Amino acid sequence: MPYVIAEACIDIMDRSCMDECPVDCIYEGGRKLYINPFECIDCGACEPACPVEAISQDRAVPAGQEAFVADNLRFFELPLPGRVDALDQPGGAQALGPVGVDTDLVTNYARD
Amino acid sequence: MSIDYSEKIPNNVDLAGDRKLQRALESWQPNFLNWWKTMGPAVPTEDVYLRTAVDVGKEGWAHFGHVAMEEYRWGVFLSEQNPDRKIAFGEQKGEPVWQQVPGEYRADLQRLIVIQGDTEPASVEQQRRLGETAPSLYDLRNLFQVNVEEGRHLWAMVYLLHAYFGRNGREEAEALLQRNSGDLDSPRILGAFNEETPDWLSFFMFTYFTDRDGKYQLGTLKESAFDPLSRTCEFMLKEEAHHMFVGTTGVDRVVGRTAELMREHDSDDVAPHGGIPLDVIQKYINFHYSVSLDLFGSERSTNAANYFTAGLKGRWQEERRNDDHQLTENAAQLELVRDGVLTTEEVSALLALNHDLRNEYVKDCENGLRRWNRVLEQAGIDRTLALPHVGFNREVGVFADHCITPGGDLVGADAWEAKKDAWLPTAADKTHVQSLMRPVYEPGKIAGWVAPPTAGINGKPFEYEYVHLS
Repeated sequence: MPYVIAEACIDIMDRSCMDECPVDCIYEGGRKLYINPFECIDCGACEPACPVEAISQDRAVPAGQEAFVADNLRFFELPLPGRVDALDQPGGAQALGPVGVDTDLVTNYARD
Repeated sequence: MSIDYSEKIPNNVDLAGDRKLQRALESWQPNFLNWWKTMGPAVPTEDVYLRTAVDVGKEGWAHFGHVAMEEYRWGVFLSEQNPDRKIAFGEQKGEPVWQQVPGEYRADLQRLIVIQGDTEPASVEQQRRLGETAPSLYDLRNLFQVNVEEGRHLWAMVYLLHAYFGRNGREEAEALLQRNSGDLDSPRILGAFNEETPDWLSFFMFTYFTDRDGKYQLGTLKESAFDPLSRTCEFMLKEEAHHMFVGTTGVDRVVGRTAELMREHDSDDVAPHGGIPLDVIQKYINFHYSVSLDLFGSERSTNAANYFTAGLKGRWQEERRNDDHQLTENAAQLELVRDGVLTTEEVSALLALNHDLRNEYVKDCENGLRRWNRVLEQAGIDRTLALPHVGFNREVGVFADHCITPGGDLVGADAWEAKKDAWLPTAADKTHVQSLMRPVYEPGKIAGWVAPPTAGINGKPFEYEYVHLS
């Protein structure tokens, strides 16, 4: 897994990172953004763009937020609510548009 | 922070307000343009669809349009300044960052900037003739994008040399145009930048493995206490991301096409069918990965320790690390050869900073291999590609005097030589790859050894006429 978006993005979704991504692999859920681990090229351009420091390499996710690594993968690997198929590799967030729903972890996440 | 394109040299550093610096850069500019004409991309064009920065902020750093190369203007752009920025590491941690070069660090900072600056024109020189064999107009456009940005990165380093290092800096700036990649008398400083990039597989490998080294080197300089260097590197990293995109997806597309040919012909030997065999791709990975590892310098380095302690060069993601950022009491495990055996040794963390950075890079590369193996898996090919051991084929650092196989076995020189052709590209491998390099300049068409991209540039289709040739 390359770069991952964690808790700080929930209900913020600034989207600056989406402008920076050279492969358009940051997708918009309902409460949070998700980096497609199959499409991410590990360039790191998104990381400094995030005003709330929600993005990190999978090996450097803040302590206590490790669950978001697998959760980013789940967003693409398993069918989301209301969908029959998994997103897998849609080939670009712009063309797909906002997905509008989240994984169970994020849907049910209560921020402090 | 907008860029002033009304100036001869586009900039966001108020060049107009510093006449002395303006004159110095304007006198360097004709030499740069002459270097670009003689050492830059050889294929003549009317115009190229390029991304140009018109602003370093959120809006406008990526403006797209067709540009005639003779009208292209390289400029000096620094990321926005944070007036409250403090030194994040070393002995002066917590103090305000420097807007001028402290006298005691002048030589070291200049050396760091010259080494970084030397790599930028080097890769343009290495890639000079690739346009003549571009597999598609899309790829040709990407080559130009990489090259103009390497040219701009040279400008970025030259600005620092001119603005902050006086006469010595100006002399070093001149020398950046006088050394040439592969030149026997006056080579580029670092080994990987004197290697050939004779074909597009090498180009994709270079932009994956060697430009990824750039990501990590720039990431550590971005942490520097010398704020103009930090801001320069931060903006360069935005551009470097495109180079990694070219490399990552380029190798994806070669592996994908090879897998397709393997299935179509039910054979591993796709060479007679116009493809690049997986064994050859593996050898190119072995070569480019190992020469790129050398760019990190010796795994045990007092220079790196001194740079860190002084605040000149930090660690990757320095400010996100949870330690004291001084490391005087910390230790690290260093892999090395001791008494004829591969082993680990505990050393001071300060001495192992190059090793620390190299390890971060290796983890990125492991992601790349996972990605390419997924391409193979999805194509139903029961083969995998792998990274060689970090000690394989090394000429710099703790493994330099040892013969280590890609699998990580320490062997004698004779045994290594006997197997070398199975691990690194041979003359025959290079000849085969070279034989596939034929230009495809018709919009929407692509050479047979590489798959088309899954998407075009900036929302344009693959068929878009990205380059108008002369």
